[in-house]
Amino acid sequence: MPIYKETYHNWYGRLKENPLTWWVIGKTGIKLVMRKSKALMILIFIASSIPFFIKAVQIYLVTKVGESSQLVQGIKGLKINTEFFSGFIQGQMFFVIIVIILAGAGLIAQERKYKALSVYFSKPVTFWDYIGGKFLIIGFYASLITLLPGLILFMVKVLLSSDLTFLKTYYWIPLSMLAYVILLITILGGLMLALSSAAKGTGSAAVIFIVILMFPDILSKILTRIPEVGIFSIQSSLKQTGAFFFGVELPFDFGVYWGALMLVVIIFISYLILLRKIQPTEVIK
Amino acid sequence: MSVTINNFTITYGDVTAVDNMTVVFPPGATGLLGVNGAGKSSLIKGLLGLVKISSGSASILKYDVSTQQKLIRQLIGYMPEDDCLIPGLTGLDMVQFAGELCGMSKEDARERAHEVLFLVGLEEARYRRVEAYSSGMRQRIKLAQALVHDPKLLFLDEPTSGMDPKGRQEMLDLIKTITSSVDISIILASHILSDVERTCDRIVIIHRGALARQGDIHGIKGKYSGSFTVRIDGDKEKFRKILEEEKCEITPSGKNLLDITLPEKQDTDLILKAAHQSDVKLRKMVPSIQSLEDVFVKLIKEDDDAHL
Repeated sequence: MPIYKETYHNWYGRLKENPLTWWVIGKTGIKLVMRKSKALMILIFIASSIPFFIKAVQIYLVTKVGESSQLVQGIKGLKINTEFFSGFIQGQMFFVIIVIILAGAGLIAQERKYKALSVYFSKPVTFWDYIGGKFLIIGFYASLITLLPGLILFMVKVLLSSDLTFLKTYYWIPLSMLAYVILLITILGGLMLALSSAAKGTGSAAVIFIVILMFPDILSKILTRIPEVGIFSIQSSLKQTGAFFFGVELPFDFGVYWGALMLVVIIFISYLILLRKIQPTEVIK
Repeated sequence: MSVTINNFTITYGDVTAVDNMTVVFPPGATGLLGVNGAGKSSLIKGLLGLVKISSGSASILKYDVSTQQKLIRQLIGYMPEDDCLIPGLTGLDMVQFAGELCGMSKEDARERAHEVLFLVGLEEARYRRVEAYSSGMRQRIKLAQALVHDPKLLFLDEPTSGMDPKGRQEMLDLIKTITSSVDISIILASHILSDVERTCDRIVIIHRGALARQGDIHGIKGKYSGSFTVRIDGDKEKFRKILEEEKCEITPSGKNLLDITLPEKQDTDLILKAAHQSDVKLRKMVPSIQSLEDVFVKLIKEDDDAHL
């Protein structure tokens, strides 16, 4: 078969002046992740929705049956307040880690393997467009199991309430949820992308990510007498900062600013790795 | 002018890939020639902002490469030398994706992707994932993604690399069709000289990162049309002396073989006359420069000799 059956024709359409390339990269990546790991993703979403349904039932019971009822009092300490929503979002951390590994480990590793970066950077795509697009992919999937169900739960509570007292008291909770999820995506997503860009493959990026998250966490649980060790655990630092965002009691004994500092360091290191590894072309010296 | 380059230098650490180059690529098809490592790919990558320029300036389609890179990238197409595939995407998705990155709407990019995939002969494979493509198909998909947004200027870096002879011919035919039928300029970097000779009108030869020669292919070949290889029987020295007196350049190239370059405006009568005067028999006389490859080899040799 000949390489062409017809001659070349010009295209007379109009190109957008400033194309939102990060959006194009993000939406294509979202579809691609689902295409590659559809079964696993669906499984994770089903598993992660179990806490959501439990919380929804709790909201229904407390709002419709009443906190004073025997049924609700049987569930120790059940109150629909800041701790309730903070607990839900923070409780999704495990699923967030799994989703970020599934969606993010191969995002850059695979493209570097197939030397795809020069395709991106020969188009009007900048470093920040590329990274922004990749964050969008991770952010989309992470939000599906944190922010979206969190906001739905809040809406359920508001809709089931007979008056606006709850909304007036806790109107800022959706903003806290949004801030915490953005922090979660920035830290965990940034770290995953950095590892994906630096590791030799998807598998090794995933393994290093798990080790970085789990090792200091385990260490801090062993060395309970030295609470400061918790600073080096990304998960502990995230929970500590998250608690600060929601205005609830801090779960660890180290200062929230130390936790925040740890997270800033992680962002900075991830940024440096990405800056070094996301090069449009491999230069062989 | 399609591309204007002034005092362009690209270095990788201590290695200078492009050395203070000044060159102009006019509209049309221009071949960028050089041996492996001459600096062809580095020059293209420097122009596209893919590698850092150490010094100098350049403009593509009158836009400055250091300040208007985004605009330039919308107007040009680049077919890289490497595989450059986006794994997981089908051929159609990848070309559509490339179109959308350039600023096409989703619908336009989809429609145009079908069109260019037909053009490059991937219509049957367009729904297959690109990582499953053969090396020839990978070359075609790379060309398709470079063409999707109808660029004004196309950079092709070793476009026939890894293709079988039939595919190579088809690729060259396609490039020739594009340059001859529509207003797209092409800069084709290759070390396969026959590819360049077949598709381009002009050449720019670079060697050791510097400009060695540029001009019209026929003009450059014409400069060497006065070179002949002759085999003689008889008094070689006398024959040689007569020709040298006539200002011919003589290089021995084997037993009884001489490479003779005639002075300007002289023809083979001079050689025949010298043979007659020195009483030698001419057993063979053929033009030494027959193809672009011969010109290229001679130019590179001259350049290397000049560096010694």
